[in-house]
Amino acid sequence: MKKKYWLAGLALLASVAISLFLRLDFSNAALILRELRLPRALIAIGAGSALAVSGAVMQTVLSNPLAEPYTLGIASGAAFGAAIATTFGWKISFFGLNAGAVLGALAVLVLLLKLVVRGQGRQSDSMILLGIMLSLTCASGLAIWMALADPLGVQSINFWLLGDLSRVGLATALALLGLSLVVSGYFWFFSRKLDAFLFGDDWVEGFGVSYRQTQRIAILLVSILVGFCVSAVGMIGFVGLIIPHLVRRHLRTSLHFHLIPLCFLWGAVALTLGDALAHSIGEPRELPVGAITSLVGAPVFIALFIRRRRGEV
Amino acid sequence: MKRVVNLIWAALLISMASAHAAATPPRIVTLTPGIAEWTAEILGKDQALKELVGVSQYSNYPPELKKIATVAAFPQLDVERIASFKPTLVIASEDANRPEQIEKLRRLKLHVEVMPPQSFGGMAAWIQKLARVLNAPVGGKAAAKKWSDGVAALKRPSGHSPEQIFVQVQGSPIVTIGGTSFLSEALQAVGDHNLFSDLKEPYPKVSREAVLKRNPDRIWIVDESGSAARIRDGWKKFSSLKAVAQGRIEILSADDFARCSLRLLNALKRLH
Repeated sequence: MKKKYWLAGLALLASVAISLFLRLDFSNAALILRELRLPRALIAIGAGSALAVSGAVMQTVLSNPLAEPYTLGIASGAAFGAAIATTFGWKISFFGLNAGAVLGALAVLVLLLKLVVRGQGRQSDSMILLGIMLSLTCASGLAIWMALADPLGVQSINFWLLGDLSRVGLATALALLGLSLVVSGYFWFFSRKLDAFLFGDDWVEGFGVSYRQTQRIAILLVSILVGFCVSAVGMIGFVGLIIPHLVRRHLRTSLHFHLIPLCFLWGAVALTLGDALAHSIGEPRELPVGAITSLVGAPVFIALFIRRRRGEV
Repeated sequence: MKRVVNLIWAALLISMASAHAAATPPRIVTLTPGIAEWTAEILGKDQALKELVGVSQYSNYPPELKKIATVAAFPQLDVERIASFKPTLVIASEDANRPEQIEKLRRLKLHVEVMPPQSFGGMAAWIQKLARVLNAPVGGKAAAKKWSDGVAALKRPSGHSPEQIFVQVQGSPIVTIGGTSFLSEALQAVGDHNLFSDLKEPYPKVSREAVLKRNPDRIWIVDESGSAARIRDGWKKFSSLKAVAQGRIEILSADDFARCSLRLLNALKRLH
């Protein structure tokens, strides 16, 4: 197991090095590194780890391997919440992170759980379908909001919705990274409670774990994390879905004591590399990182879906 | 005898109809702010205010145009609303208005004229074409001359070394002007150089690093949404940039720089 941590740590170091030094203009290196690339690398680590850990926890507490902030509509809810908060001028934020996004994420997740009847829908695809419906509802709300908004600002909103790490400053990057560390640390500390969910919903209480309390706390923390993540960097899909599955396969176990820290590390690696691609392949143009993660993630999602249908996952 | 009477009646009706048509002033709708501005220049402000019954959103120059009904949210069009004004002439733009919406207007039996895209080098011809559409050749000739004189006045003395200018039209993401935008052509015409003229799109998104790498002599920030001062402060951190070190960051009015108009020439002259 030690080797797996070493590998993930080295991969993170390598991806950060790539992100910091790929096509760097060395005549101005100190300034570019300090003002641009370092905050970007930190926010990529913070957002990537937050999304991957959130996906892993959601897949466990909702007993659904296709659950992640994006497929459940939490990310769309957060985007819609952030948009509404911006429209009405609700400036409840810290370090540039928007509380409207947290409320939007939380609202979608609570609504989703109300809609899914316990014991009937949770194990099936209906949760994902409901999540997609809620996601579409939020996307429609966003579309209406954008149609009414000043057209000059729409391009900026569009770019943010596709995932944009370039607008984040050092303070926001550190705040999100700190939040991701704290929430991931919480899940790691209580990993045994999460492990109880692996035996099936009906067995959770048998391990002395409160099903409802554990699930609710997990949902609340994930909503806060994803909400702040979306408000900082927009919608970045598939990291939360793909990384937990790949890490489980790599670990050959689903136990959360190892799953949470390794999801943290590999999520950070994935987004750091994705962002390095986003700001270097189209140079001097800037590409939205969410489009790159979706481009890679969508085929993997389809493969997972098909394999699940066949009962292989 | 009956045939003669009928002929006289027909002749009378035709002459009355043509007299009515001559007496009825045109009812013009313009679908871009740039076309509205040039229409006012060609027709003269007073006549334009009489003939224009509808303009698109952001048609704000001359300021009197703001009093005219807005019939189209630029760049989207409300076809029904435009038709409700019963215009005798609708002037659209090939690059700013969508072809299917122009087609819808035509299906409603409206007389629609579509202007080609504006380019800095081809503006005199563009103005003459608009004048023909407006049936105002004299005004068109005068406006085209004003334009050509204005461009000639911008010419730099020989020996002027071209400056690399970075024009920022949006803060986040950073949007600049590419080689195909009229502003890039304008910079070329006045002897300077657009920092991103090698990019083909008219308004590409670029990274901050790319700007640092190319190190412009001047930074022009087009103030679209009132955030130009914040954008300028953002650049001031990068003191190694030539433009920052020499204090050559200028905030420009979006109204002056968003359209290929006489105001653009005046603004460029001021920046010399």
